Amino acid sequence: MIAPRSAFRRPRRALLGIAKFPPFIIIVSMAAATTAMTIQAAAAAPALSRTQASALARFLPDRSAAGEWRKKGDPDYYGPDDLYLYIDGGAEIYREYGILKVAAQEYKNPADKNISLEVFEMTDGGAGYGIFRFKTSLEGRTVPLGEEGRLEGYYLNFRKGRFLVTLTGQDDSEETVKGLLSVGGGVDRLLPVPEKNSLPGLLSQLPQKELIEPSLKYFRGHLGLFNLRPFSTRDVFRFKEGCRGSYPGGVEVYLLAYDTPAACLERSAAAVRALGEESRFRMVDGRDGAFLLEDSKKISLFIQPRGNLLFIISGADPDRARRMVEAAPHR
Amino acid sequence: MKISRRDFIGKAAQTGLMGLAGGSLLTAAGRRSRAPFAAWAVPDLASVRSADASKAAAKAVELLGGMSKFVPKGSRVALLPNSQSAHPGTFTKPGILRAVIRMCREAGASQIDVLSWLKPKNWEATGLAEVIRSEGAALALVENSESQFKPVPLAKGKDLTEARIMRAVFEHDVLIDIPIVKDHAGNRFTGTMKNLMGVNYSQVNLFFHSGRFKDPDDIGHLDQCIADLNLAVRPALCVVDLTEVISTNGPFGPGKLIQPGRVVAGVDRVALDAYGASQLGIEAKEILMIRRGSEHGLGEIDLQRVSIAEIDA
Repeated sequence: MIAPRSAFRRPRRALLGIAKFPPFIIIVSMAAATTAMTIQAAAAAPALSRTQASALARFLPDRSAAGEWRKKGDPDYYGPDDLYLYIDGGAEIYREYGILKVAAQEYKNPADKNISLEVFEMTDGGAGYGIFRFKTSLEGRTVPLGEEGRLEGYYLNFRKGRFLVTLTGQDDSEETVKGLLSVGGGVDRLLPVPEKNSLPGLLSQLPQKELIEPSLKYFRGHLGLFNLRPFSTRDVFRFKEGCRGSYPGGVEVYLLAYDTPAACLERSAAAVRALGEESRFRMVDGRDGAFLLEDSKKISLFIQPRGNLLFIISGADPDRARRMVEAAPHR
Repeated sequence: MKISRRDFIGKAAQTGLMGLAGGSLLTAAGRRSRAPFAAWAVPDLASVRSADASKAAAKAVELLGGMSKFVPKGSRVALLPNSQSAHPGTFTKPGILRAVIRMCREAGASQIDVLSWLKPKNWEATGLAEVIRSEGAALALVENSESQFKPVPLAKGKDLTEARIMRAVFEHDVLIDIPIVKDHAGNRFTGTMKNLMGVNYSQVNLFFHSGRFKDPDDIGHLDQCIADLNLAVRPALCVVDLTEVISTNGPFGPGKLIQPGRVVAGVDRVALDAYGASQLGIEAKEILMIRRGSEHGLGEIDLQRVSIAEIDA
């Protein structure tokens, strides 16, 4: 292991008294001698082109549309391949849903308060819905922006077609909240009206009786599911798309879609085997094509394939779980 | 020298000292109890709760024996706070950085640099640049190009066999890791170990996400790489921001804010991350990265085997 020079080794020259510190910012740069990348490193990511970037600029409201809030500085733009430069590890979930580009712009008001605006253009309305629901919770309150908006203290999200808009203040004061709504309203008026309903069709295949609509989540890969319910760090389900709904009594239904019924059947068996190998789960029962497991917190997990859909019902007794599967709409 | 919780309590009782006012020591069952501290005893982790983050940071380091224990007089110190995002609860509090800089100076550091390959605006937006400026330290911005990073072979690395560590790190005698604990969409948690990605070449960090979460074991790969990376660099001290942090939508935010109100100091990165995870309501063993760090021998994952001093200041 390499440690920065031993903490217990004296430097060659000790400075006496109070050191004279160098300039505040040091730019560390040497003439670059490009060397072959012989290690596991990814290729540099291409940034957005000027044309691509400017396509989002028209959704960043100017002073007339944002009340007393003014743009501060120039916006930054990122595409799927360089999004990590902006959000680092947080970029992956956007890529999983499908992102085209994002514009980030700061706003300031006369009192010097700051609001950050991010306009994410996703690949389609379903992606917009999914990432909106990923980022929002049941806390806070709905706001009349876009197709759906939610204010949660110091930040606000709304979706409109394939667009997700996030506004972040530095506090949840009345002044900041008014600012979030004002700038958000300005963006909303600039965004195009969606051509069609953005709701993913998969949501309609959840059991509808007693479904708690605000709890709905939609995801397009393992990362989205993992953040909701970390069944496993391994992608044991390998589905095409999925959704989750909550029901009274702490019951949750996860619906995972596959290309074909055969794929669903094969994957459900493999997933159950994989979960059974993890110490957090134990197999309780398996019959009639369904499986019952229990996790380390004694919460039941009922897993049953039906056509190309895999139902995973958490927190319900097997009889109730079976009835929910049978009652779920067929396509 | 690490001592077990049982030994710590036993020895403290034997000395008969009625310890620090407001202090407590977690028992083996995790229940807080008011046990006396022995004046000579140093806990593995020092967790200080205070409305003043600077005060909490200073007290936490004091409980570990003071900054002089980690920063020899005349040494060059590199600091690694988190400044990726300026959203509330996502970056290291300025007050904590200020306290660390001051403590390093008081210990006799000859040079104090904050190392980063982020842009200047990241540092201005969080207020950390102002702290660095006003405290007379330096913000060393490293150009994000391969030549600025030194290859470090990792013989025991399982997924990452070579790190690329900022050359600037090796121009210093001491590295202090100053992360903020928070949620992370990639693997549910970030703390001391993940923060060290800040001294690793960004293109190599991309390798940690090589499968773009399309490979069934991508989260495992990410967490293994982070644990492997921690073989390459050993901070002399970690001072962890657990004051106000996001528990959702990490690492960038915005997300739900929780207020544990604590600053935690220690050298055991695994134990620190285990403790941090507990404050987010997550068991350490649920976070693969922490397990992998433990498997590498980087520290203790079982908090029952760690002496933790929790006090209010």
